[in-house]
Amino acid sequence: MKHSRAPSVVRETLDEYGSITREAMKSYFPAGEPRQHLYDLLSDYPSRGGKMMRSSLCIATARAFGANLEDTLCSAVAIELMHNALLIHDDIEDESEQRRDRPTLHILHGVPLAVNAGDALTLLSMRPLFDNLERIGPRIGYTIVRETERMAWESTEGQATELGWRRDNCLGLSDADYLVMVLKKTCWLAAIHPSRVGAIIATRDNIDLDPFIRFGFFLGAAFQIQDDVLNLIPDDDYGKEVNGDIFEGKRTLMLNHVFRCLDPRERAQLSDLMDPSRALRTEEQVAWIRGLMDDCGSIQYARGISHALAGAALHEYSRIYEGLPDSRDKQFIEGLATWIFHRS
Amino acid sequence: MDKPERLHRPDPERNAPNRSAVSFMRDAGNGARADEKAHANGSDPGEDVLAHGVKLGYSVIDDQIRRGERLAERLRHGATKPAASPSVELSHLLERALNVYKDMGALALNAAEALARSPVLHSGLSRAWPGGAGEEHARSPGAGSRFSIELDSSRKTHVEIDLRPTLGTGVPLVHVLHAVNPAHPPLSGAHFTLEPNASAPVLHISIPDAQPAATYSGVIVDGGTNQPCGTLSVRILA
Repeated sequence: MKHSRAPSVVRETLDEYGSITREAMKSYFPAGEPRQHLYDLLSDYPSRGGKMMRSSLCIATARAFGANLEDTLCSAVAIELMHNALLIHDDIEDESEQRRDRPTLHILHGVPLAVNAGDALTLLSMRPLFDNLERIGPRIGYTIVRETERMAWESTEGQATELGWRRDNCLGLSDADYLVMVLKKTCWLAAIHPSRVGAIIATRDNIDLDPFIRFGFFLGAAFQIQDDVLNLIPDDDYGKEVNGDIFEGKRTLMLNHVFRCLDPRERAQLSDLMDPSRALRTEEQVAWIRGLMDDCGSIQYARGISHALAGAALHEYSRIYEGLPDSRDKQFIEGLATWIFHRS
Repeated sequence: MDKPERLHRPDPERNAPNRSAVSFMRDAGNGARADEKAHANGSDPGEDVLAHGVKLGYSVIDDQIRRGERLAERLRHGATKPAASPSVELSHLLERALNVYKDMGALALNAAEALARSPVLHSGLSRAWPGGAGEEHARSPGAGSRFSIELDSSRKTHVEIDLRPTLGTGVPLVHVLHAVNPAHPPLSGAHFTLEPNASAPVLHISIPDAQPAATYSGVIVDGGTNQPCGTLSVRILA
């Protein structure tokens, strides 16, 4: 596989599978009342675009193993609905102001309605799973429901860990701490679950699913770290506020690395700035922290880790997919490991 | 006079391309503090980070997978814990087997019903059996959903009927209609007839004057096959 081709096959596949999934998703949004206070809110985030990486990975994995697209579509839609539901809640918990270049849902409609919309979108994500029971049979459909439940729990635990760190002003976290949190909060929904579900559908649950945990973890963690880096050094198309993670007090690999590099006096200063009981961090304070990251080489460090994990993802990819016939779907999955550094 | 020594370039530090991932990184600060530490150790900071990243990643994920396996093992043991006595355990096993049998039976019936209702199957069968059998099928009330209602009641009565076309050739049968309250006597005065000169069957519903006000519901089956083909609900107002 030529890595110089990777971004184009990834972009093309994301475009194709993304638009098919979006079209299928539309049929699940109810058209009744209350529109202004619920149903219009449900369709807001999905209508803003997004990379559709999760659903595309699910479809591509299934097709790489020989399934047809129609058998995978309900699961792909369920994944995207759940992802958007969690984004609504994430934005509230992080007090984010922008999502995909527009104000977040709670900024537009207030926190109570946004929370309710997130709850409703989570419920809505179950409907395609029920439709699965007819399409692919009750046994496999039920297995996918169980997988979805597991993924939801992992995501919830990861989010709780991260929020808890912020609330309790935890610093001095190790890289292993960070990776366990990212595994749960990000990797399960972003990569592990979609690829496991695709494989389950295609093989009728006749495959060892543990290798997908490794592959999905390395890919998802590389993706998340690169996302965190982009927040500090954004591309032109970055859709969230720059340095927003520092404003929010997010415990990224970079922040943890900075803390380890500082002397005791600076550590105390940083700890004081990160204390959630403080008023909002000022631009100057954020700039100071950002400067420390440059001084300590934290961004370079994080990039190195991200590259290492992407390499491990490629290794795990070859262990899973090597024996399968070559296909555009295989190239897409392999290409994801390099696309995450070139995406825009 | 001695010739001056020829100038030459120093030997290159490497004789192959540098494929290290660090070389892909954009310049994001000079990382002065990190470089100091790394150079003090005499190590290549880029390679160290890569090795650390891979080792750390595998350590984290393998530990998490092992934890997941241990948890799954504990849950499996809990689910298959032997019962207090062999007879109780046997009873549990039989109950589980019966539930599976019932579920499979229900699934098979659902699949058969879906097939039976398929318009594709209908048109295929009528093509496969043309002539006499087809004509009977066309005449039979089960083949369509048009019918008349004849209601005999002294009180205001709402009737709701859901009747699906079937492959059967019998006249639909209405089983006795029941109310939620077991004290109310069932309503048995509903039946279909096929009048000789009528184009569609007639549903006769007769409500006794003494019948308590309530909603009475029941199943409609095909008279020939006894397969469910609809429901009937009669609401008698006070």
